[in-house]
Amino acid sequence: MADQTPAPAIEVRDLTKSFRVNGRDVHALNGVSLAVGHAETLGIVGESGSGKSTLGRIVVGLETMSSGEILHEGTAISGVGRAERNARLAKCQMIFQDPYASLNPRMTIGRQIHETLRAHGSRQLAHNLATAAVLLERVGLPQDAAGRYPHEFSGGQRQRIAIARAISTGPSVIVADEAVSALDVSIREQILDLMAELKGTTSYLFISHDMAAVAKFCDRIAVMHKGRLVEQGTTRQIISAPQDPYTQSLLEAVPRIGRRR
Amino acid sequence: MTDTTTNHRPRRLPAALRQWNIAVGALILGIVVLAAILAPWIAPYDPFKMASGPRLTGPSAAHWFGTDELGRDLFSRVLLGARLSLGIGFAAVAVGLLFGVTFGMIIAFCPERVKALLLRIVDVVYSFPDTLLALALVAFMGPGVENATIAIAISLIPFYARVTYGLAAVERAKPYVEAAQIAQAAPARIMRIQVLPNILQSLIVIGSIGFSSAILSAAGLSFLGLGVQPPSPEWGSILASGRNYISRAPWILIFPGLAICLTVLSFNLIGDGIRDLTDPKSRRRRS
Repeated sequence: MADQTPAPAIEVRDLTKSFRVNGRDVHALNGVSLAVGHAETLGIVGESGSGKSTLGRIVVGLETMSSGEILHEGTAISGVGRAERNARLAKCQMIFQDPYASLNPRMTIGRQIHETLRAHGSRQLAHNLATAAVLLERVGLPQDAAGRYPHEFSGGQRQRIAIARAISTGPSVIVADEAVSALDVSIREQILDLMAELKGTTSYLFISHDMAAVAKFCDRIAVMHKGRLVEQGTTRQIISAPQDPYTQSLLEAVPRIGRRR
Repeated sequence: MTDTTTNHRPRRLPAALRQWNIAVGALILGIVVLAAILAPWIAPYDPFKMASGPRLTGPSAAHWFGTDELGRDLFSRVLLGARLSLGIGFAAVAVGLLFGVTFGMIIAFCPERVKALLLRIVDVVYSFPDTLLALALVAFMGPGVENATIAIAISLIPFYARVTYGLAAVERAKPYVEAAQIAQAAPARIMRIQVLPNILQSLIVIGSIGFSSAILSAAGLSFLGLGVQPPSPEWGSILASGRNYISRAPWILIFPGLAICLTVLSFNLIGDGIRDLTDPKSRRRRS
């Protein structure tokens, strides 16, 4: 499947990222290569500090890589000019873990979506607010939500707003960094269902340590450990027949109802 | 305590005045500003005329604040002094804030290495006490009210830049700013639309801190003959000239000191009130 003609929506090749801590180089990412196809959902799992969040942040351009290559639709973004690179990065969106900090507390919801749309060249406030109202309705929020401030919403509702903002520009790739980890279990299901419902042709990089959520939402899974990719495959392969010992230990750690010890 | 029963959002001016601290602060500041504007008409004596009464007399019906060492009416001098003190303070804080906030914000959004370099430069300048910095600048530019004001404004810039940098750097790391960056919004717009409203309340508070510092610097410069030139009255210079008579005629220090105190207090009250008003959380609590 991977060798078919359309280039993957996003691909990273031999990505490394190192930080200098107390004079020593620490490798957050060590030669990671993976690809996300069109409309595909790739889950990235691994423990804290495995480099999965750093990977997501590099993909959306929040952090720079030390070496390696990122390809959008088959084109390396390091090889193009600054304007072109920004235009490509603008096709990526992110949904953050903390639904409280990911919205500007002093701006109405409608204005926040307007600002995102404005950065994409749609400058008319009235038009953008109308778009915002439609989006907010699609993510299941009341009609007057656009005129209200973030503190008037619950965590789950805020994550719905963050999703509305992320999909507002019609991105080709959305990086969801622990997007449901901070939510209650019952809300988590709702948000996952909503993300699946609104997925469309967007590709997802779904970063999570929650195996159950990943198994539910993702087409394929990549397992990271200490900055390296240890295994990747379809969700079924990884869940039912994990090859790498680290993946096996991760799956072992998932509690199952009714499982006997 | 005045608007707890209404669920109307107090955003416009009349509603803002229902906030008790804004009301008190605005009242005091209003009186001081009014005094400054109307000083030439409401002053009972010519503030420059010596021997309007006996020298160094205490407050009385004829001279409300007493008289100074040259027999000038202190009430009239404090009234007229409000013009210079407020004028220098406002102008210096406005200019200092404008440049300081701009620099601090830009530094917060600079790449790591440029940021480190610019911060070191700000730190070096900030390490000079601001009055000393203002003094050096006036010595360089020459004495006078305008030069003193410019010097005080410049001396405030490192403080404002440093504090703004600290506030903006905290906001910059928050996901809502990162979301705007991912959307490729222009940095200048992120600073103005996303970050500035979130640090504005703190800027108002440090603005008023700078105001008192500006008045003190002005007083210091005037005392040394580099700022307001005698016989022009200015709160700081009146304080400085009364310093020698502190035991014989404490009123020369008390009244200008009180004027400075009340003016600074009014700024702090208004700053607090504005914070309460603009904080969406406290707005919900009240409604």
